[in-house]
Amino acid sequence: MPKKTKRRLLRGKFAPDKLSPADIERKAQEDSAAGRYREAITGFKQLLKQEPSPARRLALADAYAGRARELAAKDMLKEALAIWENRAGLGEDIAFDPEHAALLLRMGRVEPVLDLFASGNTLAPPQRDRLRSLLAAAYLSGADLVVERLPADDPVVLHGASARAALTAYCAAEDAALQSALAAIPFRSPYRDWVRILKALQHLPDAPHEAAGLLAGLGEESAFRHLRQAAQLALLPEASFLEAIPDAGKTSVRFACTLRGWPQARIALWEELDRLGGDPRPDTRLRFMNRHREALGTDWVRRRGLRLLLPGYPASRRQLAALGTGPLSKGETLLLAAWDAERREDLWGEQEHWKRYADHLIREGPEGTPETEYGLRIALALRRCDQVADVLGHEAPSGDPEALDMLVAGQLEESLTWDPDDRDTYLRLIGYYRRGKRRKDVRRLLEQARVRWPKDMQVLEAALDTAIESGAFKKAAGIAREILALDSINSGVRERLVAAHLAHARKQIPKGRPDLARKEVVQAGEWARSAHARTEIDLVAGLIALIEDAETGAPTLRDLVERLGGGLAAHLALALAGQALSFSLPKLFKQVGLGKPTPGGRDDLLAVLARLRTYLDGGGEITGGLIPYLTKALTDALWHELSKSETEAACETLRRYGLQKARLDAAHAALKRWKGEPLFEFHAFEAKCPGNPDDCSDKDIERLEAALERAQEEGDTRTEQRIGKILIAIGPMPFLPPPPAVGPDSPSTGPEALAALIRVIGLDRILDTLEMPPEVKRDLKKLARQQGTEAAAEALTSLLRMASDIIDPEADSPTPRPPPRRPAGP
Amino acid sequence: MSDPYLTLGLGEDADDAAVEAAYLEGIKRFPPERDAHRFETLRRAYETLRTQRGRLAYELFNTSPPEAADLLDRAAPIDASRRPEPELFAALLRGDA
Repeated sequence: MPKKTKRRLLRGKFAPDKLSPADIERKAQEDSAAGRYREAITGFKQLLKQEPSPARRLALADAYAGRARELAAKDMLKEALAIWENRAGLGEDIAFDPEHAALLLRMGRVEPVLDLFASGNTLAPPQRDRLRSLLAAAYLSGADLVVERLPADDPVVLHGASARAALTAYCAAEDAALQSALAAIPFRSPYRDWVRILKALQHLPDAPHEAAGLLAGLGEESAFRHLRQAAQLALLPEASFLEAIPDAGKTSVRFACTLRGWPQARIALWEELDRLGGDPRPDTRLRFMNRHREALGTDWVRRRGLRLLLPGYPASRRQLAALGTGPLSKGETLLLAAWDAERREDLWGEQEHWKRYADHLIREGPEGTPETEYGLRIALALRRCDQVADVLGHEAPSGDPEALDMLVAGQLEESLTWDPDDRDTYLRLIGYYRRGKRRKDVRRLLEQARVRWPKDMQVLEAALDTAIESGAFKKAAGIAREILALDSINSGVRERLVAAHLAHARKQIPKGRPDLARKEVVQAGEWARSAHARTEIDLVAGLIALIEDAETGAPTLRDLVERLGGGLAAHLALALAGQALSFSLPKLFKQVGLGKPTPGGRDDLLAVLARLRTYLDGGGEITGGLIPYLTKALTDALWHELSKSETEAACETLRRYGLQKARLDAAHAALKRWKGEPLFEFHAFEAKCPGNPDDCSDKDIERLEAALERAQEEGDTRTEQRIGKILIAIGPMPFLPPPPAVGPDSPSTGPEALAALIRVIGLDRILDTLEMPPEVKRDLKKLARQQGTEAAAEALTSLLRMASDIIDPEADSPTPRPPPRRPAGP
Repeated sequence: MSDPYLTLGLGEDADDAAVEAAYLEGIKRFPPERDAHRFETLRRAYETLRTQRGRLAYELFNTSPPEAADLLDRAAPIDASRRPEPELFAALLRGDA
């Protein structure tokens, strides 16, 4: 009964009776091309019954060949042979397929192949060569009948003895005999591929690349291809090999495993693993490991098996006991809980469980564990939360003893009891306390660290920075000398000291102590080596002189500005130094007697920008009169003389300073030369409407939208994102709702759903997807800006309905249609 | 991540010197130009185990479950490469995959 049902179903499925011959032919061709050979055979056979033709017979022969190969690959040899025979029975004009002969030889039926070869005048020369090669392979596999039946002058016979001798020599590892046997086989021989394979195998295991090169030279239809495939399998890296062997034949796997040095036990173990499937469940793997615990090591199985409990934690905790290996110990339970917290990225859980694990180790540990391996284990557990979550990396102490940072800092401090030999923990705590200005803690840790690592550069630099921060310049100088003794070209140390002394000098001025300020400047001079540092010192010294006595100070500063080139860059240097000492800039320049700077051309402009960047990078701030001063000074700057990359850098620097007027000028000058360049459009827009994009005109926004499209086209992601942010800020998008439901029952076509979709993926992308014409895009985007997303969604819905009506005016609308509404025109 | 001890062919009681010796031996056998993948695996294993701190950190914090290769390497390590028997050649030459 079930069989009958199946047959009926099949007939119903194909239903060839109901199809026209042309339809059957088309379907059969499609089936054949798609590898559905059984269906193709059925179709072509029916066609041949209805309307026989040579072309259809050939097509059926191809389908038979495909099906026979398919069956042979599944080791269904008899079935495959029956199909080949059906194919051969189609007529003498159907060309013999060497795969048919290969199957006969594989089944040990050599005679029919030899008969075919003997009467093979009808075979084309390439087929004849291939058949000969197959016979050569058969002879090497032990089919002696091949040389008995073939003529004595056939190359299969002539070179057969040497080919077999080569095999014997290879297997016996007699390389000299192997070389000699291979040398006796000429290049044009049916054993040519055999020679290549043996030469490749000789390169193993020491020269796998050479072996791979030789094997790659064999064709896909080689009579020796199974041997080649097995050898190539042996060449794979271990991980790829393990992935490949489930799909490889058993003989190939055994061959490759032997070459790779796999012992029998390993092959058996792999076969057992393979039976578990590609990705066995953790409990299945755990059972497997438990079965083989003697070979794997009981302790190893226990420890590595714990990892397999993690995916099913906490329910998996009972699995070990179920295997009869004893329940989880307290330590194992705590360790699993800590791993689980890490897996869930539960920061508080990590802190708590690693602490509990460490406490457990402390309780259970032997006496005198600090600074032993056991102590190190405790220390590592205590440090783990900070290691994973970088809790102390950027934070300053919160001061709340219950806060995570304080708890973690406490654990790190405790860890030093168990493992005081970890410099990074000291540095981490020092950095953390420095950020909170907890100088006592910093000093304590620094003292300990300096005793342990007196010549460590990172410890010394932390000590130097700490000394500078606390104004202990004498101490800082001593540490700096230590650093320079170890690393004489460490310019950073000198610069830090110069900057610190100058900062200290500046602080003395408001206190009315120019004498102390001068002293600091002199000390700064002792450390300065670079031209930049010397200039900074000279500027501060000149300004102090100006404060003390304008008559001597002013000429000094005038000379200095002249020495620096007298251009805008030199004036800027004085302005920045003056600003740091709270000078009013117009008053300062008047006092010094400096007028408007002479424009110094391109180099001067680049020097100005470089000085601004250095100042900003060094933590400098722009305050008070500096912006009006710079805005005025840069009014006639020669932006058009800068290259594209220089202008880009200039715009970025001016943006950092908030020098919008100069930035706008620079961007406009660039846009004259590189029209529509997205980055300059962005700078021009932002500089024109800083802080309030609503002030910009529609034209500005349209330019920005065009720039966005161009940035997208050019793959300029950064500019695209920057422009996108501005456009989002302009658009009415107060919040993002959750994405609309998608499904057959969801109301996903109304304006509300569309509005939600616009908020989620953006109007641009929706319009692009709908391939809207540019003018419609522009109108809708403008509508969205002016009246909101809902209005744009409503207009878009109306448009789509209108379009739908034009395409299918008879279609019924399930909902009452709102009156069509055109988007507002420009 | 594969078990670094098995990658370097070491027992879990290996010290710094043993780890270094195994690594040097490994990269001598598998220099990057011969087997880049193997070399990289050896290097990673060495980086993991080269200090006592690293070895303990691996034991405490590595939660990767054992891979098939680990189980095979642990229970039945690979021997020296052998040459297949003539019977295996014969089967493949006949067309058995």
